[in-house]
Amino acid sequence: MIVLENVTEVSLDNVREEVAAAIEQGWRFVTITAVDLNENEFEFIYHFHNPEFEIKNLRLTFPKGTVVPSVSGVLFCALLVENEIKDLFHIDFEGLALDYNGTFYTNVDELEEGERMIAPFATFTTVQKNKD
Amino acid sequence: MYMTKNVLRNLFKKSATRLYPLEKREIFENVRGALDIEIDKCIFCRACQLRCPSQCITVDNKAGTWTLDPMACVVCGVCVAVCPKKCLHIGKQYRAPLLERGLITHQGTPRVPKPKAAATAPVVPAEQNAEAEVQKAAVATPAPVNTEAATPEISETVAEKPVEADISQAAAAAPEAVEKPEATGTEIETNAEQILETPQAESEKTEVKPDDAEQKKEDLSA
Amino acid sequence: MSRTIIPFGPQHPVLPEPLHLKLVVEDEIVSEVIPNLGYVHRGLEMLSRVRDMHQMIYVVERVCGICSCLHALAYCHALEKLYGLEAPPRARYLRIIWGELHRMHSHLLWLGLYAESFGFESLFLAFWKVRERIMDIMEATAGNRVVISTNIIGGVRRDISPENLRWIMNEMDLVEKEFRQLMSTMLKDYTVESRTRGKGYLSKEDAYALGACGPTLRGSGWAIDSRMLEYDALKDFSFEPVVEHDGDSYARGVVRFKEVLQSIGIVRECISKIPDSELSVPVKGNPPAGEAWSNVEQPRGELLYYVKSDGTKNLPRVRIRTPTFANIPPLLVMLKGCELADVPVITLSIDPCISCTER
Repeated sequence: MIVLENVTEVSLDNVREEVAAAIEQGWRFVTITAVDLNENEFEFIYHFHNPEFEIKNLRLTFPKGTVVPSVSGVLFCALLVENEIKDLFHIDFEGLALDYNGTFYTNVDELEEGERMIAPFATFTTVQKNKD
Repeated sequence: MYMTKNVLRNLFKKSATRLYPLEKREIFENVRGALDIEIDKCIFCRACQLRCPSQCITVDNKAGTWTLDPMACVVCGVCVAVCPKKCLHIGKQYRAPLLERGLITHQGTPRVPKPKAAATAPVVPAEQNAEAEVQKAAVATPAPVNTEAATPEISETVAEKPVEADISQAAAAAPEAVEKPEATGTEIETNAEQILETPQAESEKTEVKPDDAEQKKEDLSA
Repeated sequence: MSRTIIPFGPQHPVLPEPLHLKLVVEDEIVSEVIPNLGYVHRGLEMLSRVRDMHQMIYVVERVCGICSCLHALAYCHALEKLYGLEAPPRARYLRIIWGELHRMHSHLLWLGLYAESFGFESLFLAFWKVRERIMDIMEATAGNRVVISTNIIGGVRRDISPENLRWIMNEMDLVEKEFRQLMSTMLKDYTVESRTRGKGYLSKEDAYALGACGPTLRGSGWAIDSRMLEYDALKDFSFEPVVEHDGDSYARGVVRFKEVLQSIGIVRECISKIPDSELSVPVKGNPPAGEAWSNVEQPRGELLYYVKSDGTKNLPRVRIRTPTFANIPPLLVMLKGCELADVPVITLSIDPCISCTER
């Protein structure tokens, strides 16, 4: 099975320190990929490049419904990606530098009580009723 | 006053641009304009429907219709490449503007089941009769692939496939069908009830007529 | 000091695609910028759940309307890594020829819009007249002007005949001749220089730390270009990226201008060295489970694809990281402190392709 090269596993506690350490070492931030693994878990992969085109990846797996610490304090450019993930996967971040509150791509101002959660790219089977 | 020279010169000089619509530019050879079909060659195998990226083709093989949504088609050319009979082609002229949205339907002749072969079969002993039925089933060509009901049953009545194994549409059924008869070739000849006699069917090929495999099932299982 | 919020709206003559920026302005100097995207979001990454991996090529091509063939190329690279295939030699050269033609047409489009952003409309149409020759080449060899649909997993679908290759060589000479006539206007004219020099400055450290890519990064002094990875036929040529050190809009314009000339050279080399072989290798069955990653240089920067497969014919995750998405944070930093009339010029200097950004 082919997997990505140079993957380091991180956990929710040390994700900010790992990202800050990668930037200190001279890696350039590329993007964050969010994957809907199965019914209970999401996965984030943080990708970094350096001028010689080597790749470094940090993989973070967490159960659905947890609040993930945001790295936009360390990396200003991560805030666009995190807002997009928040809109499409409905994952909450803590500490976002500029928070669009769900209006980045979609047009919902605030979800009221009992409204359907809008998460076009992920499936939530246990959190609320009548969700795809 | 000062412009007279310019005016006169411009009147008699050739224009710098093409005088459209009197003179139109020639279209290049490979241009992908619009999709078209020759419905008489179509065998309704639905390969174009399965491979279309924008899902704009609908094929009904019972009724024999091929339907295209011209506004959804992106003229990519995948259906042209996979069609086994090469009846689809893309022309150079772009589709004319339409006033309303609609579908284009072409009506062709679907595969019609032939009347029962038992009425016309010669009176022969049971074994030879079974072989004759098997041969007639053997010549069932693309027809089995169209009707979905036929496909699972064909894998049981394995006899037909080796004769038409070279036809590409008999996709899944064919490979399985080919192996079985070879394994049980010799013993079957003696047994009249067993239908799996391909070696005999192969050697005595009758003319290839589109025949209904469902019809055969009824005959063979009876 | 009065503060006003001026919308640099979704519709603007300068922008090829809709982008909304809220400019907080104090007496004509911009102090803050808040971007708003989402006007062309189509959710194309999710279509991989319903379309199988061969049909996804045609979906992925339509993410961008200017650089479409390179999206398909990156997707095919990622899937070829999963399958463990390699495209045959002639297909690799044809992919580079079409890719570099796409780069030229995109840069010529940008140069035209750039000239229009400071009102120089005759230069705008002069660049687009040169671009029409390249559109003719695409139409004659591949069938369409922009979305050419020639890349498939394992190779290419169409071939270019020898007389077409000779015709392309002739057209490259004509394109170069007409393009060089516009060089002195683009690079040395007084109006152009006074509207672009010193505007939108991005320092070298900022460009790296904010994740910029493409000519935005190369205009600030970094020699980073994904073509140095030497994918496809580029391993037979020596490739050096074009770098400028000033970091302002003028430098980014010069980088793109010189890249057009560089691409003409690459196309000529490819045509003279193209080998003979078959066009594609057959692909059987579903891809094996795993993940793959591919990196291709688009006209706007580096394009990255992450593809995850679980063994069925639908890929559960296709992630596209487009270069304009990475270039928007540097734009927010560049716009601070500039004057209101410079906003269109600076926004255009990163080459925004918003339909790529929002997929």
